[in-house]
Amino acid sequence: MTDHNFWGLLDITYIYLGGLGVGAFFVSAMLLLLGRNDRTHFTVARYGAFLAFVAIVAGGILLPFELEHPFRAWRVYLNFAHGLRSPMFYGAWFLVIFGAISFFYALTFMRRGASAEDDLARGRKVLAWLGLAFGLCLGLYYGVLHASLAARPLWHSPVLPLMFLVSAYMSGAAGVLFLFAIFHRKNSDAEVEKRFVRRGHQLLAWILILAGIQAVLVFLYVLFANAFGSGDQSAAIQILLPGGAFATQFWLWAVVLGILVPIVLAASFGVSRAERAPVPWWVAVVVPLCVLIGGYVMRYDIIIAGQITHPMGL
Amino acid sequence: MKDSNSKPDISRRAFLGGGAAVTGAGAAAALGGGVANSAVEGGAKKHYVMVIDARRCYGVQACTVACKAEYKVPLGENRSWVEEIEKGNYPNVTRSFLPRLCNHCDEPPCVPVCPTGATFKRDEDGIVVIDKDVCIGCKSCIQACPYDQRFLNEDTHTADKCDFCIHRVSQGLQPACVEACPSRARIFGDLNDPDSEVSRLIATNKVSVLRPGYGTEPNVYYIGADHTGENDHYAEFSYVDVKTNRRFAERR
Amino acid sequence: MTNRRDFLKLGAIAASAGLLGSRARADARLQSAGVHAGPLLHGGKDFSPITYEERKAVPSACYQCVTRCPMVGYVENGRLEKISPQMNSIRTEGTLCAKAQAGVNHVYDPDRILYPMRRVGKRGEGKWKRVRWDEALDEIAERLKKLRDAGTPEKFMFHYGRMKSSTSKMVKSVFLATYGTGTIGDHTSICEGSKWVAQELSWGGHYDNWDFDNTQFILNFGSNVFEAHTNHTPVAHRLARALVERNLRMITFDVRLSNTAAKSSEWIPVKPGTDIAVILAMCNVIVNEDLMPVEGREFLRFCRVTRDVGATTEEKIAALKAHLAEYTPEWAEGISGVPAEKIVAIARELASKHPAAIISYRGPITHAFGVEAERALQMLAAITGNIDNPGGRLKAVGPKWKYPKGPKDKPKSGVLEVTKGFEGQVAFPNHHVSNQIFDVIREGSFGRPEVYMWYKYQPVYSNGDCKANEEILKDESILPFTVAVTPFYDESAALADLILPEATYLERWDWEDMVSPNQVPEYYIRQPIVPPMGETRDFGDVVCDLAERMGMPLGFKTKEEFVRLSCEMTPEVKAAGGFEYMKTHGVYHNPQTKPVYYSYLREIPESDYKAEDVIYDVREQLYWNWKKSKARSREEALEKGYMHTKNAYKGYVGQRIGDKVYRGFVPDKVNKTGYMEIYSELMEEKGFKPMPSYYPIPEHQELGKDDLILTTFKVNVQSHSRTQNCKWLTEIYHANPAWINPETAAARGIANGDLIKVKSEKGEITTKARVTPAVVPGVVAISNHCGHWKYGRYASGSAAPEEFRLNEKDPDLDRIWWSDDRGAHPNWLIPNKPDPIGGEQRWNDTVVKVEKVAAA
Ligand code: SF4
Ligand code: SF4
Ligand code: SF4
Ligand code: SF4
Repeated sequence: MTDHNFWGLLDITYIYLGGLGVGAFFVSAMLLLLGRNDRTHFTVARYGAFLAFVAIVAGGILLPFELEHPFRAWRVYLNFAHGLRSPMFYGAWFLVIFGAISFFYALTFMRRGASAEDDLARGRKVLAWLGLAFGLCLGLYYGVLHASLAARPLWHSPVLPLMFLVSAYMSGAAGVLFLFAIFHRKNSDAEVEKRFVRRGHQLLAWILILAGIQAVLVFLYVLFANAFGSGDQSAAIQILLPGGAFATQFWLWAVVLGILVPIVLAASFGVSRAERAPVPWWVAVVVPLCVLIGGYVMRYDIIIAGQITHPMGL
Repeated sequence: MKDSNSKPDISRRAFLGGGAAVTGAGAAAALGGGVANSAVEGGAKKHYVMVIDARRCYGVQACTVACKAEYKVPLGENRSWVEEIEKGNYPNVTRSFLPRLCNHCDEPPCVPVCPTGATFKRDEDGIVVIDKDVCIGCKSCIQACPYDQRFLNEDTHTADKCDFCIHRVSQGLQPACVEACPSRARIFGDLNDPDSEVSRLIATNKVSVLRPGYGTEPNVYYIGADHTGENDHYAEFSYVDVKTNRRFAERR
Repeated sequence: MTNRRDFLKLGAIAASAGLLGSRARADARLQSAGVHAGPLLHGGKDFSPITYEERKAVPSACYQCVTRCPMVGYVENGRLEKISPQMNSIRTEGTLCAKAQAGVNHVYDPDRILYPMRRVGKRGEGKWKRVRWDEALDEIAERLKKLRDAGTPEKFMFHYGRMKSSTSKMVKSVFLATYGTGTIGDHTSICEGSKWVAQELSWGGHYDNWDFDNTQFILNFGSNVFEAHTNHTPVAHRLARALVERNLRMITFDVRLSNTAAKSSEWIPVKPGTDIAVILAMCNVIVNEDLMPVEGREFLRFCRVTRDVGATTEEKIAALKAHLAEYTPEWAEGISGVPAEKIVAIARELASKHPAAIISYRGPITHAFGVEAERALQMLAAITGNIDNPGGRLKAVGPKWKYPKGPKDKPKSGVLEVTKGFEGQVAFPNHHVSNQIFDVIREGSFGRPEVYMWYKYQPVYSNGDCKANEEILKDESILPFTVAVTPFYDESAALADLILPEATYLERWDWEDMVSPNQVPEYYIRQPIVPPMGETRDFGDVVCDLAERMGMPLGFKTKEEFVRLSCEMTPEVKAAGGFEYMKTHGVYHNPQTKPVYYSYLREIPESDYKAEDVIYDVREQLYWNWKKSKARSREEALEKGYMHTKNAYKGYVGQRIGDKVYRGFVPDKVNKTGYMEIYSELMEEKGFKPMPSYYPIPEHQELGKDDLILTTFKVNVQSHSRTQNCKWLTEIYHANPAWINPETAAARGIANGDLIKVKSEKGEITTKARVTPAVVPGVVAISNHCGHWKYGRYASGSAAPEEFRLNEKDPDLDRIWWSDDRGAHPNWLIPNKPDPIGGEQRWNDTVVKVEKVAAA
């Protein structure tokens, strides 16, 4: 069964970390841009900026290990002659561009005394916009890389890039929420702390919305393969459906744990109690963990199962 | 342009979508037409194809082993192999053979995905090759081939597959498997030459290609091939067994 | 689509223009590979796929199987890289099979042995020391001299397997004859001995060629031409051509859907060992319905169908009718399971299509009374006029090499009679009863060899009852000193006292002589493509060396010299340019030679049959030269008569038929007449029916409810026991699951892929089940290539002792992906039992029980 796993754990981890980076940057940038010059927005955005950079670097370090000839990787970047139709050519460029943006972006948060209104604020915002754009490209790329391959019917779905993207944003929000839960110390200023509490609820709300979208996407993904896809696709999707080899894993871990549990928890502890109390710390830890684990399993299942399944007939 | 006109009719061909068309290539076409390729002697472009006459194939695997020997393909991998399709109910049982190799597709999905340009389709003869000194081993092309023809060569650490024996063909010899087939079930030649044996065979026989629905426009044509797959089991026969001689015993 | 291609073009141009240099440091050979203008050639050259440089061509001959196809080896930097067909061969017409291509693997098998090995531990313990060739040969010479000086040279037993052509002549006719032992065993009775015996009893010297190029119909009983056969590729590719290009009909009877059956127009399943019933019934239909084609009727003139050689055609037909009366299609259906209507229909079709090639091989033969199946087939071919005619069943022709015979004075050889089975066990041990040799030696009443040497033979693995073979070979009280000559550390060599490492066939010399499917002889040679590796030596050179050491020089010092001398002595080859010509071209045939048909019709000139010492046998109406027989005087010869004079066949001159004397069907090995003998007096004298008859296989008559019949078979990418070290072949075929019909499997609760146990009186093996409708119910079919326990890491996982083997780096050793299922060897189950007529090992008669061990 594993004979055809040309893309294995390394790749999965790389695109997972890449997605986490993209997502964390998204959350950070959104907070920064939405928060005007609010201090709590800035502080939480900082978690996102750092997480984005760390994740993207970690992923970037893994990348060459998946190549059989890592020292030839430069060829990709200079391949304007033939690469224009290769997703990986774009992916490679997106990765370095996004990596550079997230580096400089994170840098702007690093300075001693960095604040929402310091002299880097403008540049930071420009970087945030750029990072959002390239992050979107990179986030979509991870799905497109797979979805463009007709020879892998399980991947060959227009929904897949969106699923990967939403999952990336979700895991970014989860990651930031997690860091926030761990590192945030109660602010002595009650007014400020109230706003911090709101940030927690805000993140939880985002997770809730994204998870909702993701649930719809998963439904569409299965529906698309079954109803609108080719015979190969409906044959392939059986591996994820009840009775299929990956069904339990996929539905239990990726869907129930990674999407439904966060929805339930976020709905019951987040939105409903928005203004009353801070997000209970266990919720702020458990929801992110569920999202992060579920997101990993989702990628794992789709990438591995996508290589086990294959075109039918000859 | 010339090549696509000379493409023969395929009995099993059914266009499902036909793949995404590339737009904005008008300028490219204008450019492309004017430049001569230095590698083409006398300016005659070839359109190399292989015809596999499954009626002649008796499954003796000389092709498989000749190919292994030609390239010292590592154990566990094959550039070419032969599938056996056994079906029916006792005593009406049949077994037929289906040699497989890279189709050197006219619309090869393996080519555009390559981020380095290591994989390319030669303009002068249509052979899809891999430059093993350029390939980074990203495995995209392996994922992209709908015929499971590509593998990672453990010795070169690059993608690998059949290259129609370009070192032989470019120097005037038939591919190794063609030379080796004792039954002359593999016939190789130039489809641009209307007098070639392949042109004649394709013109006078009902031919088929594999997975025509993928829009890959294969250049390996089969005569008299049985395309039964394991999942035709329930539909037509109560017993169907498809075996490949590969490590991946399952047909993909 | 056009757009897309042009778009790619743009890329190509950008690259060739050196844009961005992404192809600059690429594989230069690939990037600059041009397009060849002319037509592409089939063979004749070879290029390296890395450097594109041309390789050196060395014409030689394959030896992966007994077919011995001419081929060409290609060498690069002193290494054999590739084996390709010999395009100039008229036998193969430029074809080879998979096994040939993988020959390269023999030379570079990491487990081939390179140095002489002397046992130091107990037999079979695997403890060895390296000895010099000098020591090894001195020891053997010493022992042989001692035996010779004691007047018992026959206590040196030489046992060979696939030893053919020049090596056979050199070793057997020269070396062993000069030394004086006649204790020489072969392996024909584990191949097809009974087929040859049947032919010797009917049309004389053996080997039937099948004229697929000219036939109109093919009727096949149990030959797997497309996968095995002793003239495999030369006939298989012709058969494929006939089937496709001429749309011929071919009908195959087999217990299993072999690839041959699969490519036939019809596969007709038949119960094991019952083909003969079908054949007899077809004869019945043809004579009773008076369908005999005119060619058959005419041919009857050259057949002996009654005791009286002078019978008329009408009398002959009457005799046939009488004999065949009981063999009705309905009777045959009851025995074989083939519907009577089918038999009738095919018999009618056969009679209506002329010429037809009626072919057979081990399917019908390797049973009790297998001789009768082949004799019946000869009868069927005879009455339909398909003997030795274009398109029919032919007496094969091969090249006639002349060769140096060694010293003139050879001693009279002594013989231990261990090769012909026990007293009265086999009526015609013309080709020995090699399956009984170990038993006879163990029993001891014909004496035991003191030195037992085997060559190109695998006594342990290749015979039935592997367990007994191992025991005997291990027992020093039975075989006190044993020598294995082999390139590989196989199951038998592992039990030897001394191993002499042979060069592989790709490093050796030979002239070759296998028959031609097109009836025109082809001369060809084998020459070293690369020099012998390590200290390995051509066994031909070794016997010369041994002879020198024993003070009996043979007159040539090497096999190369022997081959060179043979080339100069053989007129046709000499005329073509002799040794040098053969070395450059590999093959030669005389373009003037016409295909040989109707050899029996040649008239014998009076000068020949009236020559001195030639006498006329009134009863058999034939001429023979009594001097060539063992008769001591003309009077004795006349008195005893042709039939009862030992070796009278050697003096056969011609058969008188009507008013002419014909060459007829020249006898070999037995004193039959010059007729095609459907009626065999020789059989009659041994207590069998003279006409081909049905004898039930005893074991199959009272099968229990659980009993199945074991059938073994061969596949296309392996030869019986010798190719499993070839990694490229074993990668394709390494496990041999047991074929079982779904009905048979269901009755035992067995599903496809289940682990099963197959048990016989001799033992049991565990293997996987392959549940398939491609086999007759009541049968379990297991190929006989797998389940090696020695023979190197590719074959069995068991390495040859490290100090002796080729320790070249072979990364493929770490890539063996089939270690968890290497199949099982069926010979552990099969007792060594001979056909009582021809001595053939009864491979396909064993009764077994099958049970499920574990689900898949
Ligand atoms: S060598 Fe020819 S006959 Fe044999 S399997 Fe290959 S294509 Fe078929
Ligand atoms: S068969 Fe596969 S590898 Fe060959 S050209 Fe087509 S897509 Fe590419
Ligand atoms: S593995 Fe090599 S040939 Fe294939 S896409 Fe990647 S770089 Fe190109
Ligand atoms: S039939 Fe095959 S193995 Fe036998 S001699 Fe010919 S090529 Fe070699």
